[in-house]
Amino acid sequence: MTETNKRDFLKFLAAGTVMSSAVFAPSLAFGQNPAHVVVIGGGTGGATAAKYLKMGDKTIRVTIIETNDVYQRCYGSNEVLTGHSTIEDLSISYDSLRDKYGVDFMFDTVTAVDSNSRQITLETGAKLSYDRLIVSPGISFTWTETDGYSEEIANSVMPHSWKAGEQTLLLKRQIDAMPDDGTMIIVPPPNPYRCPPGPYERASLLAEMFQKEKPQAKILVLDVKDGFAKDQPFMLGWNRLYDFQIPETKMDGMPDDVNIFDAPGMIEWVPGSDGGKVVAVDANAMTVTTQFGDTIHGDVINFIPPQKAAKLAFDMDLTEGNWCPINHLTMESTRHPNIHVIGDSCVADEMPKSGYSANTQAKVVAAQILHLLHDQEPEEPTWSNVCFSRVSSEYGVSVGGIYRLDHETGKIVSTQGSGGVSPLDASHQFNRLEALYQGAWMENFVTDSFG
Amino acid sequence: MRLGIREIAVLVCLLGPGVACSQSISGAMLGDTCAGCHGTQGAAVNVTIPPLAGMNAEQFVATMLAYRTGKQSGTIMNRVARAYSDEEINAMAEYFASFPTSTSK
Ligand SMILES: Cc1cc2nc3c(=O)[nH]c(=O)nc-3n(C[C@H](O)[C@H](O)[C@H](O)COP(=O)(O)OP(=O)(O)OC[C@H]3O[C@@H](n4cnc5c(N)ncnc54)[C@H](O)[C@@H]3O)c2cc1C
Repeated sequence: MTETNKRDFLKFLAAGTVMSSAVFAPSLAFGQNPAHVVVIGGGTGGATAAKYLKMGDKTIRVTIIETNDVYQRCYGSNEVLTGHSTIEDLSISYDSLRDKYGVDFMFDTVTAVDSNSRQITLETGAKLSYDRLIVSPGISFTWTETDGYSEEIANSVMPHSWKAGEQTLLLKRQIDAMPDDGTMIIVPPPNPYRCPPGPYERASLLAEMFQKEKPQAKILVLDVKDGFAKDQPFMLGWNRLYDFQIPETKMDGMPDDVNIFDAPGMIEWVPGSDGGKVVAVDANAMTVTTQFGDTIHGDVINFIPPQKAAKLAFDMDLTEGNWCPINHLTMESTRHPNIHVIGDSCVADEMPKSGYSANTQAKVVAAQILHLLHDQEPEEPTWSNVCFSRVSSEYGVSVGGIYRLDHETGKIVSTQGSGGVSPLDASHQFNRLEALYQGAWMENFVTDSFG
Repeated sequence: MRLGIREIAVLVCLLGPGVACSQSISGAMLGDTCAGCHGTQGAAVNVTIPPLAGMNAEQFVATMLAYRTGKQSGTIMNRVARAYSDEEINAMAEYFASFPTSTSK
């Protein structure tokens, strides 16, 4: 290790934890009042953090500040598009966190945080102070990178359906109204973004629905990327179920019995290197124009825009570039002491932006905050991510990763020799089970996160 | 003087708090990452994914080792089990064994 590396390492270990912030942050030993941890955002990350803080120490006060009094989960929202579930199924109440775990709630929107006085200002004008703050505000979108596209267009003509609720319903209405031989265009975002396999799971489940209801329909995926999460297991499933021709670049390791088609099936995927990047949209003509100059008409255009940390993260000066850098030992912001950032908004290195990631980041931050409040050292952390996607309602694929802290770089890294995607030589039964586990995961995951 | 990473960690531990001194991960820290699928403290509500709460520690260890070596094939569990050392599997086994089985709750 060089001298500079050594210094950086020491700095990383010390940065943002007790060394720098004990001076400002009262711990339990100092005060007579119970410590107060405030969580901004009662989504997947925030809810899990609040629950695990209370499970770890009932005596501390935990308050969630959240705009909406009901959470609409994104996981499972692709099934609302196909009619397999309803928008009501996506709603999660906060009753259990409040009644069973003793979490306090304020349904309001945070407008400002002063990290020196540790004071939060809410939209209604109310103020609130904290000993430690957890911020899990999700994502926001970049509207300006594509000609002709805007937030208004997304809310009226070309929904992204990448936050659940109105957007999900708008896209569903368009899909239902699409002509039987219509074309649906899906434009996945560039990396990094929330739920990397999400756009492809959406294409899969819609293909399953169209096979029954609109067998002449087409799904055209115009991608800026040349690959995506679980791309080979997805493509193998598409080949088996939807007559998808697997591109030459993705044939490596495919089983011998893959089908060869001379015409594209229901799903067509155009990678970035073949001109998949969309550079302009026309909401009146309902067309998209690719980097190679092709203008293509879609009856439904599901444009999923590029993503960045939530607006609040920018307002709080927690960002560098598009996301929030943190000390991964404690998940504490490297920009402001006593403020911990988790979930989609934070930089988590090799971890994908998923609900599962947000959930395990929440458990790490809860454990470390409890240590810090008790004047203890933070403990060695670990995180995981597991994601099941359905290629059809009876065919699942998965990806998993177990993550650790690399003490040399301070980064979150995947444990070598483990994790990864479903094998391509998996049996029929294996994929059947993964579809089944997806449903069980949903139930257990919602309960683990929201009580 | 050239110091290895371990020595630096020890040095930093002596210097003050705020530093994780040990590389070993607690059973709770490890086990809570399983909860997204297997339920909080292993108490799955949908038992299509097996609950781990109250599982006999020896049985837990044997199952994880069988997944890790490939002797038993699961779906995602072989990929997951390969991430863990014997020590970590033991720590998780003790953690889950310390809870009542979900049905007895
Ligand atoms: C189609 C789709 C499918 C998905 N499927 C899966 C899946 O199968 N598995 C999986 O693991 N993940 C999945 N995800 C990803 C998952 O939904 C997100 O990664 C996860 O919700 C991130 O959690 P978070 O806490 O960072 O943000 P969120 O869950 O979005 O929560 C953020 C919360 O903060 C609140 N908030 C923001 N700003 C303020 C403010 N100023 N004041 C008060 N409150 C505020 C918001 O109202 C929101 O409730 C999917 C996503 C999509 C779009």
